[in-house]
Amino acid sequence: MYRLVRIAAALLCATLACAQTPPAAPSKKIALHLFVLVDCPISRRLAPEFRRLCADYSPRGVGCTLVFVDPDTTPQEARKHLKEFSLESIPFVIDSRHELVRRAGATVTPEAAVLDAASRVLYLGRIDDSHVSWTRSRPPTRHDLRDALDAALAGRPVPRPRTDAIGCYISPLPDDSAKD
Amino acid sequence: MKSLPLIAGLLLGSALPAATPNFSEHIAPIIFNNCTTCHRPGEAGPFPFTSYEEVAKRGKMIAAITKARTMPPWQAEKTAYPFSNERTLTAAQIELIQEWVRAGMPRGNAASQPPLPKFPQGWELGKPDLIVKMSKSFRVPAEGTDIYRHFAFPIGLPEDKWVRAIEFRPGARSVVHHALLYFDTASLWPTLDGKDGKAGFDEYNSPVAKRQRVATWAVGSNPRTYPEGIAVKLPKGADLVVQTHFHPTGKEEDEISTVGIYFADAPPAKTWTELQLPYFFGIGAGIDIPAGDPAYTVTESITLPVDVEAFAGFAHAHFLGKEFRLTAALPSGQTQDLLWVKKWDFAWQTIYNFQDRIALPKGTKLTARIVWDNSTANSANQFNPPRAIRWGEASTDEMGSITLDIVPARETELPALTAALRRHRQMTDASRVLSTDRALENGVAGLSADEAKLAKAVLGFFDADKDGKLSPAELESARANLRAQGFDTGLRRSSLPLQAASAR
Repeated sequence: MYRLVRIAAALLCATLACAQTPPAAPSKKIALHLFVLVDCPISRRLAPEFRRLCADYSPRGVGCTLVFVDPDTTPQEARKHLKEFSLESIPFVIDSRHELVRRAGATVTPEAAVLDAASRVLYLGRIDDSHVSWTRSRPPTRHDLRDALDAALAGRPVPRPRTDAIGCYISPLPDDSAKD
Repeated sequence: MKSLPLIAGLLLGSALPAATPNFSEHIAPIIFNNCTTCHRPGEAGPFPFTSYEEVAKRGKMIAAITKARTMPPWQAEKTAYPFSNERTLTAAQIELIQEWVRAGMPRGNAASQPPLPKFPQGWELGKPDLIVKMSKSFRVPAEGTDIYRHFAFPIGLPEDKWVRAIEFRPGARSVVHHALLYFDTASLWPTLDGKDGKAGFDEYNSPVAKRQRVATWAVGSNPRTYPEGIAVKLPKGADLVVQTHFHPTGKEEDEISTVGIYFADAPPAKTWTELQLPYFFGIGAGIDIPAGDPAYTVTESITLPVDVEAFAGFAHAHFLGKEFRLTAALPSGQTQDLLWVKKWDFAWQTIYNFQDRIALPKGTKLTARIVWDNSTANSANQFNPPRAIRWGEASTDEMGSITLDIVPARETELPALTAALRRHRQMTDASRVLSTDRALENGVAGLSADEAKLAKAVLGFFDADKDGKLSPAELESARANLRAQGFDTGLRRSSLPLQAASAR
């Protein structure tokens, strides 16, 4: 039953275009994928920064997408989350088969990937250094994602292309063999 | 695919027990009994753990966070005195979780999965005798630094009552981090409440003598229940004042807290007394932490004037706190740890309840040692580069103390106990005043009203010739006296101006 619901949700998503599916508009030469989970506290806490990032970089040619990584998240839940956190202006996708998760190599939420027009991963990692452990945060002093976006837009190499993101692990898709 | 556990077992070889752990038999009992009390709908845990699917979905996270011992949240080391509210997993339980996740989280036979424990719905101790609630909600912004806010809950009963338990229930569970609850007879709050247009008020300088901390709530806590035979007085006319600490969650939240109070049938046989080292979270201890200092240390001792019994401990500091240790040197010559928090984390504020009351005979020397780390190596340091930090109530200021909740072994000795605690507070202040170069050589001349009040109290003890100032000889003798009582009178960076700490 559980599996059926999941498959149904995935089909629904695929057929009804529950979200604007990336890649975004061709005018956007750089894509920003923000991997999120509706119930991950750190993913939630950074929502205001997601909003600012997309407001700041969309006009500069960055295609922003919020990527919900839990295949069980329904479009209704995703929309409710976006409304609660004032993120409605950002396109989203429910990555039911983890295609975007795998393409970027994302492992936690929140995590960001910056991709070029050829879908090469220019940056993968934290948004900033505000979270130093699961329970510890402080005002950020390094804005790694912004630095990466600035470099990518300028055609420069990204200074630190990989950083460790702190948050909730992205669960592998349920493996039928492990479910007895 | 029933063969998977078997294959995993074969591949991993003899290091594993014969059977690979499965959810129903091995993991569900650990999770349901240790995690689900908070991780269920309506409670503080962000993810529910009430079924195989919910737990398996977070398996990797659970394995990592239990291995790091971040969860379940518990900071005290094991000592000779076990805690009744301890929530830790054993090394074997943690390893079992790791094995289960490595093996692909097999479910096992669903029929052998234990049922969920019976969790209380609503008030954990049943219907309270008195329920008080915030009359207006307090809005917490979506982001920004942590917020401390005080809220008054008017009670004002016409007579004294005795309280046996208190339960704090936050309205917006995810945004309330911890709360300190006080019974307050100063009634200063009506002039402050809502003055800045928001519910509650920031600072509350109610005198120490007019407020008593009666409970602490933190994510994951149970209601504060006093041991059998102990109750706290809710004085006639007193109100409840709660200091609530909020962590912004990414969206605006509106908090309305509710507090349930349970009355005792009769006054307690023994009076609950708070022994705090250094007193009032170190207000008089001259806490002044240089930028970059990795181990700023305050040590303070008191020798018990009468036999007492201890029933709970509590450690408190802010982001720079590193280690807390309270030891008891017993008259027998034996020294025991009472509370030892080796790796302080500001995220968790817990009262540590002793399983049995600890008998501490007269003459026991209690020593609190508190260490702060103001270097960049402290990942909780809010400033980079670090700044010098002094005592203060904001979370980016510092404070620190270890509290022991005690009763006198014989109630007739209560006056002697409270007098000794009061004198100890005065001596703490005196040691700070006298730790400045040529302290009080001009008496109170040039001091502010608050400073003069404190200085006069100190002169009262040590100005032998009553000339209103301290001569070099008087100062030296006073310092020797304080050192003999276990106080540090070494010169400190922090000198006058002083807060009139003992007056608080």
